[in-house]
Amino acid sequence: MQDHKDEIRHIVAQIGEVEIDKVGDETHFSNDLGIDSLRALELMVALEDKFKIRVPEEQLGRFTSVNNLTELVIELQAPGAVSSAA
Amino acid sequence: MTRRVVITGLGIVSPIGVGKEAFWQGLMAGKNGMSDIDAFDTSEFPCRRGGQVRDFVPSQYLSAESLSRLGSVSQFAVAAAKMAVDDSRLNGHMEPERTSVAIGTTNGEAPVLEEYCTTWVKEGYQQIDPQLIVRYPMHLIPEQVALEFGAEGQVVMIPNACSAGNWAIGFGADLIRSDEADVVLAGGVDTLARGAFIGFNRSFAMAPEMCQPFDKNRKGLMPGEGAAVLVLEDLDQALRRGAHIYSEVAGYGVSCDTYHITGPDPAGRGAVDATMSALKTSDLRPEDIDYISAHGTGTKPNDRVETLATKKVFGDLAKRIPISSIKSMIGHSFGAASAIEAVACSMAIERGKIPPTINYHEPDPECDLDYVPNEAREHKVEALLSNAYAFGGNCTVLALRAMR
Amino acid sequence: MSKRVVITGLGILSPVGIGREAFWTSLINGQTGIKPITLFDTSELACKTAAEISDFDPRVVLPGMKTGMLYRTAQLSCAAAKLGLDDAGIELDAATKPRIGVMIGNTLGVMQSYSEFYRGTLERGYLAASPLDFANTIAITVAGYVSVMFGVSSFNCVISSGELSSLNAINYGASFVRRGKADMVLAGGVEVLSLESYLLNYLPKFLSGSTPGQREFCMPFGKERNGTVLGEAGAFVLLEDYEHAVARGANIYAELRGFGVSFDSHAFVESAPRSKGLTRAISLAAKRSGLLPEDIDYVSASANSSVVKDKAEADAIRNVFGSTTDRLHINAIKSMTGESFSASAGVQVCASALALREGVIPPTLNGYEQDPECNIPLFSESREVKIKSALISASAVTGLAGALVLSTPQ
Repeated sequence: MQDHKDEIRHIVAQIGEVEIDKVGDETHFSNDLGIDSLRALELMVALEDKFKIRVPEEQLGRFTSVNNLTELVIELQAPGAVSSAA
Repeated sequence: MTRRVVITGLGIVSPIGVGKEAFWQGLMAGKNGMSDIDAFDTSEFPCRRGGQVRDFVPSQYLSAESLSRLGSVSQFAVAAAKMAVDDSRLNGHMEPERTSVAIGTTNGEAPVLEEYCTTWVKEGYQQIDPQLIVRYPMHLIPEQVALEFGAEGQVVMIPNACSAGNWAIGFGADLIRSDEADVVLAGGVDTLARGAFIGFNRSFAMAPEMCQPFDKNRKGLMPGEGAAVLVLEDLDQALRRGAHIYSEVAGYGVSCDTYHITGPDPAGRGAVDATMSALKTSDLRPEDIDYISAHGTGTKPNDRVETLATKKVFGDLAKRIPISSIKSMIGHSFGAASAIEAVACSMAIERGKIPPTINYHEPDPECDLDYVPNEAREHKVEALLSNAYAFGGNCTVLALRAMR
Repeated sequence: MSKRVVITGLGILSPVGIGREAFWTSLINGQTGIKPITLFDTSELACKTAAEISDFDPRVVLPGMKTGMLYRTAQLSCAAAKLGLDDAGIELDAATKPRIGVMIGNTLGVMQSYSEFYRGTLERGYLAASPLDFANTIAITVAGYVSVMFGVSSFNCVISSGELSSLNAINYGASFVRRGKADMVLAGGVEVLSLESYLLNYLPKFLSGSTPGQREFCMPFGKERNGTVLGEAGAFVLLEDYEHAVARGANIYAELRGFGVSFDSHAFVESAPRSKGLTRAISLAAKRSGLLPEDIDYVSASANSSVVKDKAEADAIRNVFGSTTDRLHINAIKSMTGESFSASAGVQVCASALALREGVIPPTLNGYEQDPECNIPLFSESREVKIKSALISASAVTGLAGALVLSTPQ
């Protein structure tokens, strides 16, 4: 889980164009980091690629913090999740 | 004395018909122009439908020599221009130095670039055909139109994406008003591009089945393709030669949101500004407007914001002005869209009927205006507005009125 | 009475320098920006040189702005806008932002980004398609990003007409000032160098040195010229309502005067005289300025070492200026900045505005024999000379030609 978190933090910093130490577990992507809806989609593509998952569109609302994303990734990696997303 | 600008010729290539009569019949019948796309392989995409042009026969409009020289996008544009000039009966009566061309687009000759990329990936860039790649630069599209008719005035491409057609018409009208031209061939063109199809699929902006502007259950836009060219002409010249006048270009308004590169300002600031500016430049009052041709893409944010902006400008009048989106029938043809809508608007003024918004089933509490649901309507139109908004927060509104 | 429009700011990023001062110092000292290409691998190409903005880093010009994921054209565009606004001393606030428009000349802005996006989908499948990269394939965003980044909201628009793009943008942009829609407009051109845009010119052998055995050399009006050398630039001016500029005590570089355009619909006919379109465009620009040809002191030529175009331009200048051609100051700065296509006339406008203000005209970088067929006077060292009116000419091989006159405001 910590590995996932660190990976996600790194991706968020890169796509959000912010220093990695600004990205805390509960830092809000849009309010605190200026990550807009387009960059959120970009995050989605990066997560899909990194963790070999498919993120259904209705889950985009959960793209708000590292903690929420980590939770989402773990859910989507669970057995059965991929087929429902595909 | 200010020169006035009128529309005296219409040419159109659309998914519901090629040529103004076929197009108009489609609009009046509420014809759905969506089909399964087969212009390229769509098998891996979740959304596969769109507005593909099916009955365009290039050789009806273009010589064999032109066909061998022109990319597919230029073919649409030149064919639409040819129909428009024929319709205006200006053939042979355009003074080269007083004739200009302004065309809008989103992607230009994207199919050329996609073919170039395919060769690059499969065989390496050294194998790219130089004769293919020289067709790519997008300013060649209006130049091909100019060559066809010997136009020697200003010749420009305005790649302002989904609002490009309105821009091209506005630009052209300015040339006539400022006495730089007597005739301008103005319009827009785009063809279905696989790259754009992927982009919209991947951004969750596309609807899977149908385009449902302003409906509560709308799911997104449907990509389309087409071209429209309008003959803009100096009023005095048009009167002198006894031309048929569809409508007058009363004015146009432009503005921009600075909210986001791809999404609209939730408060509709740019749309409101552009509408006010269109009314001001055309010397029209809100109560003069009989019809609004909506941008109406069928995405959640667009239709909500467009409705909001209309209410902000028109107040209590908003509920009484019919507003419809022909994108429900033909999809979103991007750079061609607002030029095609200008053709529909010109014919609405000419014929006293307005096209419907089809696929409209369930009202959305946030979209509570009269969207002319599902059936065309008899309605006298003296003055109208046509909205078009694009990426980059680019907002435009064209104002047309009946010739008086 | 139509409003007067003046230039009060220059936003220039060029191969000979970023920012007005670096650009001008290089030009008047005859320093070229043409050098071996570093932006992409040239090991499999016969040509190896171009005029790159090799030291461009958007983070330096645009501190605090998220521009890292924009395509290079949009980065340059935002940077040119920033430099132009700063040079004009504009404070961006609630009063000024709605009164500033954006009008950008650009033709190939998304050629690289669309290609990269599309090749990515071919190589890695559609799921790898990046939504941000997709936004970077839409040409209007080259203006849209300027509006969004700086919050300037009068309008934004892109105009594409090849080498004429910057002049079209400046002329159309000025019309919004004249009719009172905006007090100020960022207008000009931008075009970047990429392998994609290079191939567009290299594969059909438009470039100097693209035929093996040829010497690779940019020599506008030169006897042995054999094609152009590409460049890149972001070159905007801040157009401003004259009264507005005076009221805020702005530094005025020049006033916009007449503009002329012509499309030569016979340009593809081999036997047609190539100079016809530009001759008409230059005459129109002078006439609309209310000037006689002899009132114009300086011509900034668009010659770029192209065999056909340079000769046509020399002919056009002589057609219009006749016997007064020999007292004109004429230069071709593409000898130093390369051919930056949609941005090129914008670069010429920036240089001409500086020439008017500084009383110095940069040279045509020399070191080669002039073509006797290009019968116009050139010079190889900068000249100190007070001038009142400058004409910027631009022409494309496809038949488009244009000219713009700038004057010192009276």
